[in-house]
Formats: sequence, C-alpha cells, structure tokens
Amino acid sequence: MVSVSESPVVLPRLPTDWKPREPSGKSISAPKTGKLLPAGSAYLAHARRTIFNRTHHEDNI
Amino acid sequence: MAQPNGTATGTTTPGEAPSTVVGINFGNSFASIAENQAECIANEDGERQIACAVSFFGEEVYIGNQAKPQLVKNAANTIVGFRNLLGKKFSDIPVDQSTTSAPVIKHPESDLPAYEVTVLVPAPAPIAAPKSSVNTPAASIAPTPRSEPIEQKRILTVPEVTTMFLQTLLQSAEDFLGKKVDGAVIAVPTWFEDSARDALVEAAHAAGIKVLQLLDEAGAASVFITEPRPAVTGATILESDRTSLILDVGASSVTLSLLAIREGLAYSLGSSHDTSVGGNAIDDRLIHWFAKEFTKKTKTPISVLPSPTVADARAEAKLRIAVEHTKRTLSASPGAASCSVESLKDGIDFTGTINRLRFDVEMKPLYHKIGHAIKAVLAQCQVDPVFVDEVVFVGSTAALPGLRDSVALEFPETTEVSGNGDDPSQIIARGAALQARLIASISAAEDASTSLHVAFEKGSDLINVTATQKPLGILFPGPDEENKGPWLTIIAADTPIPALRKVTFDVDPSHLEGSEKILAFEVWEAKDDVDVELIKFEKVDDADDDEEEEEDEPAESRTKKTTPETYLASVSFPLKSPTKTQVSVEFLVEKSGEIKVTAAEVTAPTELHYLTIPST
Ligand SMILES: Nc1ncnc2c1ncn2[C@@H]1O[C@H](COP(=O)(O)OP(=O)(O)OP(=O)(O)O)[C@@H](O)[C@H]1O
Ligand SMILES: [Mg+2]
Repeated sequence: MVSVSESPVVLPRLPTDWKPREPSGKSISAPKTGKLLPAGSAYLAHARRTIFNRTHHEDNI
Repeated sequence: MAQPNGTATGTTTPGEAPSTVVGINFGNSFASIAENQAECIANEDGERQIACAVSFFGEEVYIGNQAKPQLVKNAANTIVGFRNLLGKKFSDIPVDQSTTSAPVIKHPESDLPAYEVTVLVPAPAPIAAPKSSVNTPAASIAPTPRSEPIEQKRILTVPEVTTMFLQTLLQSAEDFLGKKVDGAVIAVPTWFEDSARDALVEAAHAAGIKVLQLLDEAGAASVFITEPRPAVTGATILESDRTSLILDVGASSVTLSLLAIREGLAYSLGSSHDTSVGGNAIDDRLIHWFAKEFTKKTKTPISVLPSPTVADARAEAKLRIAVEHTKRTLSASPGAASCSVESLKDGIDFTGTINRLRFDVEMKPLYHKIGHAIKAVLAQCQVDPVFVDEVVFVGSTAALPGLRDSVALEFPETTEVSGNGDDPSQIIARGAALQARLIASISAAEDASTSLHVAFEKGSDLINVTATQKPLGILFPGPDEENKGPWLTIIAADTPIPALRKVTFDVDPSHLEGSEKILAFEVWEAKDDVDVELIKFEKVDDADDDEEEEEDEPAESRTKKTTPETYLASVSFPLKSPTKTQVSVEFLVEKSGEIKVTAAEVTAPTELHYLTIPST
C-alpha cells in the first residue's frame, strides 16, 4: 500500500508574506461505480477488508 | 474449501485447502494447463498447447494434437470447436453443415447440441462376458482375437466431449506432476453465459476436476501481470498503478480488455470481442496464398474456401493443418517458413515458402482490423493511447512479430509493447494457476467463519466498487500563480475506493529565505490531458527523395500531462530540519469521496498534520 516517490522535490520560494490558502470548500468529483475482476491477491485483500469490515490502516498493522 | 458443486475426487474434505492446484486455459481451439508459477505442463508428447479435438477412428480415440490430422481423412468422426457450444441449446445455434469436421446435430432426446460418430466396438465374446464400455474404447481392445468388431453409431453431447477432453488434460498433468490434482481454476471467455459456465463446471466435475473458480481470461492475464514473480531478465518494471490493455488474439477471435491496475486491483474500464479476426482468419489467407502457389507451380487447379470438390476439400484440410507449422516457424525465427503437404492434390506433393515480410503484407488487412478494434475500445472507454502504459499480449496468435509491430504503431513510444519476454500462449494458464494457489491459500478456518470463497463465485457483489473519477494530488505553491512547484499525483483516476496511498519524497529547504522553513502544499483534483506538439522535420537537401518530402506531414508528439483543475485545500507546517529531509504525505479516500490527508516529516513521525476534505 505504500509507494515511494523517488524524485526529490525542489521547493519553490515563497514570498515572505506568504499565507496558506483557505480551503475552497469544494469536494472531489462524485465517485463512479464499476467492476473489479475477481482476481489476484489485492482482490482477496479487498474481499477480506469488505467482509471483516476492516480499514486499509488495520490491514497494514 | 466448501464448494457448491462438491467433488468427486474425495481427496479433500470441505474446508481443507487443496495442496496441488492447477490453472487451465480451455480455449476453443487449444488448451493448456499450468501449476503454480511453473511454465505450462508438457504432455507425454512434450506439447504444451493441446488441440481441443477428439477423434474416433475404429476402436481408437485420439484426443488432442493427434486428433487434428484426422480432420483430413476422418473428418466426419473428428470433433472440434466444442467449447464455444457449451451451455447452448441446439435450437440456438446456426445450422452446421460442416464437412470439415463432425457436424453438430440435435441430440435425439433433448435440445442439446451433439455429434454423431461411427466407432468400432469389439464383438461380444462367444460366451457371455461383461460388455466393454463404449465410453473407454482405448481400454476395450480385446486381448484375444474374436469375431470382427461391430460398427456402431455413438452420440456424444458437447458436455460429454468436454469431459473426455478435460480428463485427458488432467491425466497428462497428473502424470507429469506425479500426484493427484486437488483443484483447478479454469479460465473462460468473458462472454461465456451462465449456462455455459454451469455446463463447464459440470463437465469438469464429471472429469474429476474440482473447480475452484471460473475466471475470466482477462482476469487470469491480470493475475499474471500483477502477482510478484521472478523477474525476466531485461523486463521493464512497470508502475503498480497503470493502465493495461490485454490483447488476446486466439484462433476464432480477438478480445480486448482495458484495465486500470491499481496496486494489484484490476478495475475494468471496458472490453470488446471481435470474431472476424484471429488465427483462423490468418489460416484462411495462408491457405489461399499456398493454394495459388501450388497452381502456379504445378498448373493443377485447386479451389479452396470454398472448395467445391472432395479433392479440393481434402487439399484445404491438409493445408489448414500444414499452415499451423508455418505460423509457428514465422513466430520463432526471422527466416522464411515453409509449408509442406504430401499429395496435396492429384497425388502431387507441395512445398512452398513465405517470408515474414510477405506474410505481413498478406496479413495487413487483419492487422488493420486489430488496430481498428484497439481504437474502438479506447474510444469507447474515452482513453487516449498515451494513457495506455502497457499492452499485454495474450493468445497464441499474438506471438506473431508482425502483428505485434503493427499493434505498437497504435501507441506512443512510452507504451510498453515488448511483451516483456512472456510467451503469450502460456499467460492465461499461468495466471489461472497463480489464482488457484491464491484461493487454495485461504485457510479452512477463515473460510468456515466468513465464507470468503463467495468472493470468487460468479456474481459476487464484492466486485462492485466505486472509484475516483479524476487524479488527486498535491501542488507546491510558489511566489505567484505562474511559478508553482511540481505536481505529484497521489491517487490516480479510476482508483477503487476506499483507497490509501502514501508518498514519501525528499525536500531540500536550504535555499529558502527566512528563519522558518515552511513546507506547504495544496491538495487538488486534476485532470488527465494530452499534450499535443507538432514536430516539423527539418528538410534535408537530399535530392533523391524530393517527392516524399513534400508529402511529409508534421508529426504529432503526444504526451500525457496531468493538469490541476479544482483546488481543494492546503496544508503547511514548519520543517524541523533546515536542510534536506524527507516528507511523507498520505491520502485516504473514503467510499463517500471524503479525503483525509496526513503529512509528516519522516524524522518526526508523531507530529502529524491533518486535513479533511468532506465529500459533497
Ligand atoms: N507460435 C505461433 N505463432 C502464430 N500463431 C500461432 C502460434 N501458435 C499457435 N498459433 C495459432 O494461434 C491460435 C490458437 O490460439 P489460442 O490457443 O490462444 O486460441 P484459443 O484460445 O483456443 O481460441 P479462441 O480464443 O479463439 O477461442 C491458432 O490459430 C493457432 O494456429
Ligand atoms: Mg482464447
């Protein structure tokens, strides 16, 4: 579940009076529905999470 | 594992994990069987691709590749193409007046498609002896001469033929493995109806195979590409989040499946199935080509497809068997491939050759059809070719190098189209074997308490998921709108949710002004876009090719780009380290669409910075 991005990030300079931007109050686009192929160990893990009502975090412990 | 269909082998009790499991690729024309990650299992003749053919010749039954040559002189007793008829009613299929193999007839007592073959059964012994079963002709050869065997008609239904065939397949696998097979995942085409699936499970069961799952062929391919396996030398390591096009070119059809692979989960974006192109269509063209060659060389006329006379039909059948070898040679080596047939027509032998270049020219219309099918499925899914990260070649016809080259032309250079050295004819069986091992790994106790196996049954609700529409990620703010920092995608579009992703990256704040080194990022929803750039070729003042140069159109260079589209919220915090350090950012997208963002400096993992973006 953990991917590591390897490229170093060059942070842009911020002006001295920089203030974090207010949240926009918007949400992500409404999720769509679709189908998985019932195949592979990731699917088995998904089935276990769903049946046991377990979260990804609990999975990773 | 508890199986709804039970098991005839009796070697495993319900709830006990089978120990030896296999994957079966049961195609319409060829089948193969694999164990674990091993390559496909070879049968006693060393063959890994077993023709789905059953032929009755006197007292003998040939099953597999030995049955194919019978299509020449014993066509009426040779059964092929039965898989695609599983689960169908006779009244639902087009009338078959085949003269090239045993025609499909209506079973006298039901509406099942069946075949009628003529077999020889040993005459009953003079003194009443137990009658030998007509079901096992191979074992029924009488040890002592008796009166002449008797000719008999035998009617076999499609499931009965399937059982005979699967039995042979299983037997050679068990002989090879030296142990009994406890269970199998059998791959089936996506378009297989419920009735076909039921009929297959029943036929497999009758063959002594416990079916762990009927898995779609695209699913088997997706297991193959997502499960960890020993790396092939030189193979490209692909991202764990990627878009893969499974291109299955078999004998009777081409099947395309576009999958969003997200950390091993295969989310289906769309699929298509085209029965007008495949290995059989290639055979037709090759048969035409060699028949013409024959006439040119020998002045003996020959008509194929259709073949009006018995002699022509026989010549066509001989050519059809011979071109199989020609195609395999073309795939295996760059030289010319031959096609040899003894007594092709009027007692004249034939040997012809075709090289790759000529072959590809002859097959161009078929390659175009495949290209068209690719364009169509991508259009239907609204996915630009630049977003396809890899093409997975599946099916034996996909071994043809010219076909692969022509497929590659549909994609930019960034798409992995090398096939990574995997033999396309083995992918389905090997993927199914990996899946079988996975299902077998579910412990009896766990299954008993949760019925986890239902996840692998047809119609399981667990395959229905919600997924993100667009990519989500972070953008580093800058001095102004034009000078924002780099963009990092954290969660790709089409990711099934809930989803959890964590990205860790290096940041170097040492060049930043001020005593406080701030790490700030904005959370955005983005959109996947195509950057189109026109490339003009520099005109070379080479006199020879003047004409062509004028026709040169500027080439397009298309690359993918992700453009932040909707700003959501920001996170900022002072970094503890004044110099190079590591930061990790975690996104948890809930099923509702709510996002929880957590960020921390890796050296101070307990100081978390949170943000929640509610769903609508
Ligand atoms: N090395 C090869 N090069 C080219 N073609 C091959 C090669 N080996 C087998 N073929 C052809 O591939 C076809 C069989 O492919 P495959 O086993 O994938 O089909 P299938 O799954 O049985 O059929 P279908 O998917 O159409 O139901 C046949 O037409 C066969 O002649
Ligand atoms: Mg196939």
